Amino acid sequence: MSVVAKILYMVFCGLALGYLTFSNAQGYVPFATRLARSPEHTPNHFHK
Amino acid sequence: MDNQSPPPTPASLVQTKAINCPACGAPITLRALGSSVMVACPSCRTQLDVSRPQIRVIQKFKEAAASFELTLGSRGTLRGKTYEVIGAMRRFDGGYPWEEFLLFNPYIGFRWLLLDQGHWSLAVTVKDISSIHTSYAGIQYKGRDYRKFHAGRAEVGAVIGEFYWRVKKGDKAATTDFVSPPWMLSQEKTRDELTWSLLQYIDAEEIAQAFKIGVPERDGVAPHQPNSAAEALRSIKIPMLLTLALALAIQLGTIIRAHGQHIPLGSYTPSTDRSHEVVLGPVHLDARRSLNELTAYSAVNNGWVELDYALVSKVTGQSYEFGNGFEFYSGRDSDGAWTEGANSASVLLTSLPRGDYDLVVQTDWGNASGADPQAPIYLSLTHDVVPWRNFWLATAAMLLYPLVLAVRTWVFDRKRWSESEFNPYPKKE
Repeated sequence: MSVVAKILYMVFCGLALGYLTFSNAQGYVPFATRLARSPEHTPNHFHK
Repeated sequence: MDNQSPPPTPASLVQTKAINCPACGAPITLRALGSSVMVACPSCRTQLDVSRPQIRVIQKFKEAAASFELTLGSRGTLRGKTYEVIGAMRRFDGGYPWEEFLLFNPYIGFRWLLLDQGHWSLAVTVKDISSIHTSYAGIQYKGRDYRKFHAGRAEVGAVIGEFYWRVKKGDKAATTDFVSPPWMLSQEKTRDELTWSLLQYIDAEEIAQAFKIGVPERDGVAPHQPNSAAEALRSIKIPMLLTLALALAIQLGTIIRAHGQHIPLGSYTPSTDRSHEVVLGPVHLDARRSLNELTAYSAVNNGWVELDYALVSKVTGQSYEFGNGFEFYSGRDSDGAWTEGANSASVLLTSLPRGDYDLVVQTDWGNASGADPQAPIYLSLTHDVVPWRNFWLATAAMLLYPLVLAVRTWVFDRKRWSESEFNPYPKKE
């Protein structure tokens, strides 16, 4: 195996760990309902 | 390979000598004089006994001289040592031929180069045969296990150059090969002798560079050819295990930190006025940013519920809108009772900021009977739940490349062993 492939794999693993750390800290998971911020709530806002 | 252990070759004793072939008159240079006992004329391939001052013809050949991948007298530097090709022979096992070259360096002695289906090996005679032991899978030599790969009968088909034992066309030996890539131990047995050779697989490019020849076309996988995917897998094993352990540690940290707090939000019976909004809460989310799971439940039967939500910040008044729904049907037919759907549904809300919120719910519903809804809807929120998806995604990403390497390792080894009569893999029908 080339050293380059090994280094690339380790970098990739580092990125995966970074993603895990950051996403967990943010309470983020993919494929879930990501809330879009709406304008200020008004009464009966579903019928705007 | 060789039918006799090579003689010791102290450099001081090594001399060269030029003779003429008694059959064709062609000049022959004896390069390992004192060690060589026979030489095959490179021109007419007549085999001569050179062990005594009086040169004697052993066997005459009438065929055209065979061509070999390496020419006699050519020199090459291999692994830092310069060798000269002094002998070459072609052998075959059934209809399967290969070439063997005897290399000589006066300070090191004899080595062998083998060319088999475009794959090269550098071989040396094993002198300490006592360190070869039989083991469960095959044999063991210097702490390495070798698996039996092939047993056959090798016959000399053509020979040129000089050798340290008498070799002639038609010489036969029973051979058994044991492999442990990149090594192979080859046993040769004749009526008089038993010899072992240790072969190391060598890249064809290395030989081409050393002897200034072309790279022959390779056919299939050699018995002891290194499996590059297996080597790659071995080299990333420790980083892989370390990062997996780190991922597990991060996830454990998240599990310990996460509140996983269950907050009942309340219940209500849906109104016949579908535009009616119910406000539940307030609910306090104390994690800075968190993953939350909102669950709606109702004992609805043969009906459906659709819920539109707005999570409204009590501080800013801003709202986050989302929705979910569920349906549940049951009945009885000729097969008995049946049910379909579910009485609850959950929705994961990612990255919710800390704060106090009201949950505004608008409910749409329907049922088979057309009657007004009777079953109340219960809503609850689990605050700061453990995000497992990230862990599984990161783990899958880290295992993807090793998995590809594992498959490639398996395919390569299967191909290697498909050439063996001791193939451990199940054969394709």
